[in-house]
Amino acid sequence: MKLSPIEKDALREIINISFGLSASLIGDMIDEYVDLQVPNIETIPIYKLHDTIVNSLEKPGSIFVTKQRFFGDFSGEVLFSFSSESAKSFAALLVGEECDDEKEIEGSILELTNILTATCIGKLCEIVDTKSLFAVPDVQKISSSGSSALHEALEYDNAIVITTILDVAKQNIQAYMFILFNNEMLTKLLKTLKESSLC
Amino acid sequence: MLEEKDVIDLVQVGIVVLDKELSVKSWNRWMSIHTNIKKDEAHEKKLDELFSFTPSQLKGIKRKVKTAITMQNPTFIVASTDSFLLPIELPLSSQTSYTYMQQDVTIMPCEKGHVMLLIYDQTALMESQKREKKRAEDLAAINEQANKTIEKLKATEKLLVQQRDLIFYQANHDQLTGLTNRHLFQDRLNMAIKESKRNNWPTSLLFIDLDDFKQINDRHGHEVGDEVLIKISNSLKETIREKDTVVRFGGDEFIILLSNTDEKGAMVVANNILKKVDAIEFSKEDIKMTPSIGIASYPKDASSAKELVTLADRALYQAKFKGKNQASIYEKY
Repeated sequence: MKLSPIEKDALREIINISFGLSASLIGDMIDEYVDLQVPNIETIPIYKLHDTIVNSLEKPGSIFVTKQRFFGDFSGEVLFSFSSESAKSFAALLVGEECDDEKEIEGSILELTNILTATCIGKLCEIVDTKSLFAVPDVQKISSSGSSALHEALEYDNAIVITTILDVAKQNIQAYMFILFNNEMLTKLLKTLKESSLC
Repeated sequence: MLEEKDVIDLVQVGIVVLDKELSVKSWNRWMSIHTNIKKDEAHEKKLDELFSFTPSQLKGIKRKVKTAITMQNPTFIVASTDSFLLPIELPLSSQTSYTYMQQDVTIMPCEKGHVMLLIYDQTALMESQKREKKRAEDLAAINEQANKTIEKLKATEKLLVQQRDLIFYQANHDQLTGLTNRHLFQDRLNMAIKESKRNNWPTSLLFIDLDDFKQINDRHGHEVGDEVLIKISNSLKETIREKDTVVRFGGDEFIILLSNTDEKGAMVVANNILKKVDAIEFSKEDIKMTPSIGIASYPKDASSAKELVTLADRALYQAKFKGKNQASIYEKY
């Protein structure tokens, strides 16, 4: 399911608003000014998810992928992918020193993505006038050359891919946010956007 | 009907309500059972008075509580990365590799700026994931070992093939000149005769002997003799087609097997050889080599492979008899 330019603009605006709140929460967390940018947004069919995650890396290596499901009338799953470098950079900001401990890196990015997920899905829920429950998030490290570890995502039909740049303390931490929906949920979201004259 | 406060004590989940300073406002039965701290003992006590946390742990808990309250959405402490929030020691009988209960904690914002901590025992799940990971690692190690063994076997196989090829080569070629030897020649000749029969075409043999070669060895030694043989061999190879075979038959005797060639074609080849050999320069300037060549053809002269060799040899003697340095086609007397 492809987004029209108007739908893209409307979604970008909503995500920008939610990321504004996220930026202030993350800024408080690490005691730095944080700017969150969303340079790009698009939809892909779910079967392209693994390749899109792997191809998001500038060079082959490991990728940290966080996952969090949300349940209720409006349901789906949010994934974030980080290169090892970006994940390490954020962990260093949160811990306050260079960080090589993998558990600490994973914990840090889970904390970051939990905020981004909660504010973003919270905002979308507000638009479709419902509330969602969040499952405990999970994180896994996959190799760019390895086979797909994301097969369970196949229960969805589409992924909204949101390029996210966290501009903080002269560091560009880049992540890709993937909101996974089935056709029913995406249609519901787009219909509500249209009805509420957001697009 | 059960009241809400009773349900809280029945669920198999730890429930703690805290204010933003981490003071306990509510403590369910699960918590009392697993921490050995009763509800009234915990009430109004700060979480860090009840349990000891490292400074960074405490900082993390406070941060997550604050975030949950500010964004009015849950934050989490995850067993897979944070291990556990509360140091709840597991009984020895629990049959787990963990000393402490592994916990997922959901920090839910609630009224009055409080948060509710929902503490789930994830020890069994973590244990099974750990076992799964170990199994995957063991499997990967076995795969790696198997791949190494396969690589070694492949290398050994390659070596064996190389050795087999070398042995085959050595068994079928002359060590000095690299030409086909008598053993392989016999096979090639038999094959050529069969092809001749099948295709109804002629096969010819050139039997070559170097004139007075013995004197070279006698006058200049075997090293020079070897040089002569090598240069002549190379020259013979250059004269023939790819499908033909040059054989070192023994000493200074060579045979050239020409398939699909009659005696006239063989004579053309023989004359080329005479010219080529004449042009060869050796390290000793006074050496001049000439060959004598006998030609016989199948089926015109001979009716079998063996006879073809015999008749080509006879033709060679006819060439020698006529004065050497020439080619002679077999003539029946």
